[in-house]
Amino acid sequence: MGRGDYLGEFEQVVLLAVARLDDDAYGMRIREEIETRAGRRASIGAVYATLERLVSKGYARETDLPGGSERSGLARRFYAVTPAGRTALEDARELQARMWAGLKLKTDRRKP
Amino acid sequence: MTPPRLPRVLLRLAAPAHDRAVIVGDLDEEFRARAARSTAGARGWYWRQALASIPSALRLRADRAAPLGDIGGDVRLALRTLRRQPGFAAAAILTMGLGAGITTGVVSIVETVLVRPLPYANDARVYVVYESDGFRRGGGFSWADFVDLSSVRSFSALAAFNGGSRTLTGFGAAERLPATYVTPRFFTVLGVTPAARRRSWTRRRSAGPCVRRRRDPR
Repeated sequence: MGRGDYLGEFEQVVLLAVARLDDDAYGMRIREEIETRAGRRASIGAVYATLERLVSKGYARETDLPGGSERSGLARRFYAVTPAGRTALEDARELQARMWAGLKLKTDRRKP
Repeated sequence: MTPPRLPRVLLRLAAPAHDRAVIVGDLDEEFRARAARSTAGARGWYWRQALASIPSALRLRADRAAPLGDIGGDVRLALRTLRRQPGFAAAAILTMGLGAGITTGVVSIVETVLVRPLPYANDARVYVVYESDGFRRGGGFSWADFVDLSSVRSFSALAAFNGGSRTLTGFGAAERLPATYVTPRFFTVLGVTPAARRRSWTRRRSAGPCVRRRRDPR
């Protein structure tokens, strides 16, 4: 992984949500997945801004499809994780695993 | 059930054109799902989502307006793709090379033929005159017509030329060389100085056309 290719924390969350939703990964469902699974509130604007970064980095690709009456006929944009995105996610997980391996966080012994 | 109009309009204004429909469509879809349970709750949720999304939508708009903002990332992505797909890389490089070569060739020809000025001092004032009558169009002059035309004051100078070739002998093996027959004022008309000049030119001027071998410019 080269310099600048790393995944930010929220980028990881969004990309994992896309991977979990598989064929149903579009903006609203991605935002819901983040809220229900990660317990984090996210605005739809923040989700799209992050998705745009992931697409520009080559970690996700987007496809626009026409929407139905439930969304006023407005298009749905579906996302999918690219091979580069899968590699980036696995690299991030391995990095975390290496950093956590054998680590026990010490409690603060200082008196208040 | 219709989503609240004001936050919807604000979000539409903030979002870039490329993402406007999908962002607003997602909010509308979730709004209708929530409104089935509670209209007031859905309206409050829509307001919060729209207002919280406006800063991100504005950032997204700025990113899309500056396509060179992440040029480093684009270059890295291109290199990564080329490394992983050597066949595609070879085809892309070949296509770009051919495109660049053909474009350079066409531009060179157009520049030489149409743009670059002729290598004469009088290039803006030099014209080629043709003769036309009921039988010929754009033909050359007879010598008699050229002599007549030389007396017309519309031209500051007039010269005639005729292409052809001559055989050079006396310097080893005989050689066929391109040659052009010109009248004595030919170089004066063009405003150039010949590499070599025969002294008898001016003396023979009135006797008729003069023949001069053209040397290869080596």
